[in-house]
Amino acid sequence: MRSMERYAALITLMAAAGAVLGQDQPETKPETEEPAAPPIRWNSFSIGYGNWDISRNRGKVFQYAHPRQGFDLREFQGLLPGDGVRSPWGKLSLHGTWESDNIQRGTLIFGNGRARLDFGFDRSEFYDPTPLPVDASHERNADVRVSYRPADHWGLFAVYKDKTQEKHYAAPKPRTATLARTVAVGLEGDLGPGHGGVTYSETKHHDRSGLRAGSTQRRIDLFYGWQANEKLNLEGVFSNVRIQQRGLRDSNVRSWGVHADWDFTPMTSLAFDFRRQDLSMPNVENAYVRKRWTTGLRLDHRFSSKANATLGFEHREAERVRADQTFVDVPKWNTWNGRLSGRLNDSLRYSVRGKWEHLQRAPVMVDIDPRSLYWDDRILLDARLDYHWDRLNAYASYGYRFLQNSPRNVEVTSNHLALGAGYVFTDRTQGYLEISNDTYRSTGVRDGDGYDLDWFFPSQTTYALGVNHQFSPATSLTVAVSHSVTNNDNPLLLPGGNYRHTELTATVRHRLNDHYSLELVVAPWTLRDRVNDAYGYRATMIGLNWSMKF
Amino acid sequence: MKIQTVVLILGVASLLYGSLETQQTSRSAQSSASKLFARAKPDDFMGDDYCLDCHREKTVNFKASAHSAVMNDPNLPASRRGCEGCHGPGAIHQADENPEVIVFRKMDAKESSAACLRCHESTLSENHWKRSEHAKADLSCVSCHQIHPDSDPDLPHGALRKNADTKKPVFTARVESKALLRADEATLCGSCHGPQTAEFRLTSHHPIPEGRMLCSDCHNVHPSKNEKVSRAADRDKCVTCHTEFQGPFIYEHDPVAGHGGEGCAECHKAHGSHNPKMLNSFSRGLCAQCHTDKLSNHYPGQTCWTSGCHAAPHGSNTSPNLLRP
Repeated sequence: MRSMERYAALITLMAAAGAVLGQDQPETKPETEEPAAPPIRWNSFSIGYGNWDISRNRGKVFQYAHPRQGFDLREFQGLLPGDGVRSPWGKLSLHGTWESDNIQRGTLIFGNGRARLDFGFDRSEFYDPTPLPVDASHERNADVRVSYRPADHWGLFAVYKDKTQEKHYAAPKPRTATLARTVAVGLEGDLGPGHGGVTYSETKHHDRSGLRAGSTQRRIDLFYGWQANEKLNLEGVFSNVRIQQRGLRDSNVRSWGVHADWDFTPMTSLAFDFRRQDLSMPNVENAYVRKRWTTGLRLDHRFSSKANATLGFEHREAERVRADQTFVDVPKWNTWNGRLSGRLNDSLRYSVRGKWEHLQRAPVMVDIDPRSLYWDDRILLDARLDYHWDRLNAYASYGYRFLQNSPRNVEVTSNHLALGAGYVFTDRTQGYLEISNDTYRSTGVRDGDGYDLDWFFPSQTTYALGVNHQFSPATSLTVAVSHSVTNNDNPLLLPGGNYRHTELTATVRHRLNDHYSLELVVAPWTLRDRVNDAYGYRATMIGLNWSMKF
Repeated sequence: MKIQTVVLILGVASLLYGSLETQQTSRSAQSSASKLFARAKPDDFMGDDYCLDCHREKTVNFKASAHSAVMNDPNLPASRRGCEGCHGPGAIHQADENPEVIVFRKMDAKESSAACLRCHESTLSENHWKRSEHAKADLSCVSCHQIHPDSDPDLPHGALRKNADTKKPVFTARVESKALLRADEATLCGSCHGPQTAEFRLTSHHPIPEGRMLCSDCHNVHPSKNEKVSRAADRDKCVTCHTEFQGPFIYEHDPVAGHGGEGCAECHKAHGSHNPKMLNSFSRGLCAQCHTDKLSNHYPGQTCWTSGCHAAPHGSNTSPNLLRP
C-alpha cells in the first residue's frame, strides 16, 4: 500500500512539473500562411546521467542488461547524406558507456549505390539473477558485412562475426566461456529462368571453460526458385553441414527440400512441401534420428476481400537408430492445421487458428520405464479479435494448448487470455490498458508422497497501463506501469516462482527549442519474492537527459 | 511410408497438372503501378529537380534515407531512379489529361506492396509476399516501413509505445532497429502483436524490452525466396546465440535435439515466462511432465538441474544421465 502511495505521489509530482513547464511555452497559434520548411537536422546527440538505488537482489535488476549508472551516451547519430554516386551515403550511431553496455553501428553505401558496408560492435554486462555474490557476465559481438551488386540482378556478400560470452552463475553451476567466429560468403542472383544462390559459412566454436569440446561447423546452402508463370512457383533447397569436434568423429547433416505453389484459381492456391534430412552422428550413444521426412499440403482460399481460409496437412517420419546404427523405430506424426481470418466489417478483424498433431506410431523406449516419453497429441487453438474505430483500438486474444501423453496418463492444458485497449482521449492525451492471464492445469501424475504435477504449473496475471499527455507542444509526460503476480503452489519453497512485480516508469520531456530538449525519468520498480525476500528487490532510478539536433 | 507416399503423389500430380494448365493461361492483371510505368514514355521521366519545386521538404529529407543512395545509380533505368522510381513519371503526374501518381499510403495494401515489389522482386516476389501472414492481414510494405524519414509517424491503429516506454529510458544502450522502419521494432511489432508484448513483461524474458535484442533476430519477417523451404529449425535459431548448446552431444537429450518434438520450445517459452529461465513450468514439474515416475520419489528437493545432479539438461559428452557437461 505504501508503494502505491509512493507511486501516486510521484506521478502527481511529475504531472505538476510537466504542467509548469508546459505553461512556460504557450501553444503555437494556428498559422494563416504555410510556414517555411524548417532546416533539416539529421544528426542528434544525447547525453544523460542516471543513478540507481537498489536494495536486496541487484542481480535480478541487472539480469539482462546494465541499467544506467553515471553519465552515458544516450545516442549519437550522424548522417553523411551523400548520393551514393559522387559521395558515399553513411550513417553512424553510438550508444552507451564504455565500461558496461555499449552499441556502435555504421553503414556506408557507395559505388553508385551498389556497394554496402555494415559494421557493428556491442558489449553488454549482465548478472545471474541471484542475491549471492556473483561476478558480472559479459557478451561482446563484432560483425562486418560487405555486399556488392555488380549487376541489377545478382550480388555477392561476405560476413564476419565474432561472439564472445563469459557467464558466471551462483554455485554449484560452473562458469561458461565461449568464443564463436563465423565467416560466410555468398552469391545470389538470376540464373536461367529463375533465381538462385549459394552460401558457404564456417563457424569455429571454442569453449574456453573446457566444459565442452570445441567444434568447427562448415555449412553450404544452395537454393533455386523458379516462377514458372503467374500461377506456378517452384523452389528447391539443399544444405550440407559438417561438424568437426575436437577428439571426436565428424558428424554430418544433409538436408534437401522442394516447395511448390500453384494458384489454380485467382482465389485458391495449393502449396506442397517435401523435406528430407539425413543425419550422421557417429558419436551419439543414445538413440537418435538418422533420417527425417516431412511432407505437407496446404490449401489457401480467399473467400472474398473479407476472409482467408487455410487448411493444411503435414506428415512427418523419423527413423531412429542406436550408436551402432541398429534400427530402433520410426515414430510418425500427422499434423492438421487450419486458419480462418478476415474482417467482419471495416472496424472488426478476426482470426482463428488451430493445429492438431497426433503421434501415429509411438517410439520404443529402452529404459527402466518403457512407456513413451513423447506427447501423443498436441492441440493448439488461437482466436483473436481486433477492433479499431475512430479513437479506440482494442483486441481480445485467447490461446488454448493441450498436450497429452496417454501411456503415462499425463495431460497439460493451458489457457492464455489477453485483453487490451488504447484510447485517444483528446489530441493531447492517449492511453492504453492491457490485461493478460495464463492458467495451467496438469493431471495424471500424483506420486506416493502426495506430490501433484499440477503444483508445478503456476498461473499468472499481468496488468499494464500507460498514459501519455502533452501539456503543450513542447512538454509531455508519459507514465507506464506494469504489474505481474503469480499463483504458484511451490511445494518445494523455491525462490523465483512466487512473486509480485511492479514497474513504473514516468518520463517528462521538454523541448527547449528546435535544437535542444530535456528529459527526466523516474522509475521505481519492485519485485517481491514471497518465498525468500532476498530474491526480490526495490529499486529506484532517476535519469536526466539532454539532447540536441544539428 | 503409406501416407507419405499418398501426399507426395497427390502434391506432385496436382502441380504437374498445374504447370500444364497454366501454360495456356494468359498473364493475370498487372498492378496499377506496373500499368502506370508501362504507360510512361522515356520523356515522361523528368528527374528529381522537377519534384523539388513543389515537394522540397520531402525531396530533401529523402537524402536521410538509405533508400536514396541506391536510387541515384546512373546505370539504373529512369523508371527505377529517384522520386519517379517509386512515385511514377513526373509528366504523367502533371498531365492535364488523366494525371496519375503513386501514393503508397492511399493505395490498397495489395497495390501498394506490388509497387514496392517492382524493384524488390529479387529478394521477395509477389507470390511469396501474398502468401505471408502479413499480406493476409491486409498489411503492405508501408505498414511497417517508412521511406521518407519525415513520413507520417503514426503507428498502425495509433498504438502507443508500451514496453518501449517502460524499459527504454532505464537501460544504458539499445540495439538500433533495422533501417527504414516506422518505429523501433519492439514498438512496431508490438502494435499488432499485443499478446506477445504482454509476455515480454514477465520477469523472465528475452531481453527485447531492455534493448539487447530485436524481434527480427529470431523472426524472419519477410518470407524471402530461399526461406520458404529452408526454414531453419527452431533449435538452429536458438544456438546462434546460445552456442554452447549446439552439440551434437555424445548423450543427447531427445527433446532438446529436436528429434521428436519442438526442440528448445519443448521446455522454454520463446518470448517470456513467469517461471525462471523462461521455462514453461516451474522447477521439477518441467521434467516430471515426461519423466512422470520422477516427480518427488526420485529426489525430493530443489530443481533437477540446480540440485547438483542433472547439471547438463541440454546434453552431455560425459554422462548418460546428463549429470555433468
